[in-house]
Amino acid sequence: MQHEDDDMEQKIRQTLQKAGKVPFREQLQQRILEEAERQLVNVPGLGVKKRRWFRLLPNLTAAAAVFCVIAVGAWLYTQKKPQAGPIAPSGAFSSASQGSLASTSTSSLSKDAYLLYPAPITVQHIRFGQLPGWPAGSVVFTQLTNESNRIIKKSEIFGILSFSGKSVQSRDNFLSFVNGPKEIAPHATVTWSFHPVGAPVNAAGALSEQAQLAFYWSNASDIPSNLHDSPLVWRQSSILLSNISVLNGPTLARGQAITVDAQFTNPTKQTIVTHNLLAVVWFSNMPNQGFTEYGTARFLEHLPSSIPNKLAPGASFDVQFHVIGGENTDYFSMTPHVQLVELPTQVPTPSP
Amino acid sequence: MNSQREQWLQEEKLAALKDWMKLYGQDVIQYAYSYVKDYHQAEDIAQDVFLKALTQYDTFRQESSPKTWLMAITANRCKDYIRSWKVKHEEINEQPIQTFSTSENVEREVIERLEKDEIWQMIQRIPLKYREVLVLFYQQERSGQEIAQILQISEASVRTRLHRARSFIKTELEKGGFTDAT
Repeated sequence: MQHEDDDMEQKIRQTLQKAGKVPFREQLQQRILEEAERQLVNVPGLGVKKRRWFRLLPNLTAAAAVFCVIAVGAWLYTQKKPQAGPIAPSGAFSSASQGSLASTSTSSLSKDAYLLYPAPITVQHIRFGQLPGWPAGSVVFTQLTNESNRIIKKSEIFGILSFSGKSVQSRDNFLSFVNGPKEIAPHATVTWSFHPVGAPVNAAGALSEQAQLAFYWSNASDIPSNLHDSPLVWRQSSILLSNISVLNGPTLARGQAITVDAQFTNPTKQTIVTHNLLAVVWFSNMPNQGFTEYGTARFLEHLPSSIPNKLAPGASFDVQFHVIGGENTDYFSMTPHVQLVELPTQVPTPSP
Repeated sequence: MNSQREQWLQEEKLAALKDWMKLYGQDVIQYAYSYVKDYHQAEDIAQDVFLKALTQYDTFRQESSPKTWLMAITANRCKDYIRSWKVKHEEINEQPIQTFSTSENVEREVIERLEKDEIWQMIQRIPLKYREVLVLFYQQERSGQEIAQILQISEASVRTRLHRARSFIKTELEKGGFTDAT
């Protein structure tokens, strides 16, 4: 048995080492040296990025495909604006509206934390399948059951999709907001499907990790207390946001590419750890709307690994978020918000 | 005096950069390719990695192994790329790039060779979480401890992922006729 294991081990090693060599070309080395020299004499280098954008252009048409959330259960979906984000994870920053954290909304406990109350929706049989226009295995199908005695409408809930279960604690994990079906009758079960953009896929474009989905009330304060369960707590970071700017990305065949620049500063007298932070980015029509509210375009984003793991008192760092939003949404007329939250201590409620 | 010192420092940095590229350039681009499945992108990432290493040159001196450090930068850069909106668009476009100038023939040949490479195809069918460990362990021959440093995870997680990765690769090997399934 041990011998067989050793053989297999050897076989794996030999096979993987036979993979074609990826050349590190002389031209590339030269390019890097030239760029390095430019940087060392403080001349901003543009070479790489220009090249990348230029090369990207021919690909953008097909690109569009990925971005929206597709369908809904066969019976439901009529008109859907992808803006509210079943799909695209993205980043952004926030500006003013701390008012959205007012305690009147049960979605936010206080100025320091958001409380996300689970909606009485059971998520079952999550699987990956195909719908026309999407790679096989890239569409999430699931069955949603309304466990309550009242109709649950799309405007009342939002979902959080995650992959890899426990790794919600790590930077590897993919998290995204999703919308819900148009409505679910009391105790009814509907099939719901959507295409999560940016989720972990294999070479064929099929989703490759275990998915979890949970739904939460958009405005829990409007919901009878007997429909509340223990909330998921998203504690806000003390890091402050400033210098926000929203820029257009390249033109896409479908959807809008938007880049958000922001600066984060540690205003406290203590070092703040950043590795456990998530950025919640949302665009709202009303300045005080929180991200849980219906009609906002919301995104979840991990912070880039390039930022420091620890932010000293008074220190700042710049972050750039790239968002792919719905094509029918005028993001530039909306109020942008960004809030850093600590990764939840409890993962989104897994489906049974 | 200061300016002369700065110049020495710059020369020292450039010399280090050349050494890194010579010693580890191949490993960096190979590892980047295992993430992004795109030769051009792997090149861009390799460039980013070395330039970033240059900017962190002073802090790097406190680190242990330059290769482990460079591979960690590579892993992080690849993950940032995968999460960026660019990849959300590029990933679904599996068509090879069609337009090349004559001066890029060599590049085209490399791309075609890599795209046809069955072993790379097999590697890229493995979920990323396991692929990154698999490539580091078997292809790059890094130890569990080094992989843990590179991926910033615990050694126990490395062992767990490696165990799962072996199952995936074994299935792929058997499916692809690379082994007699002993």
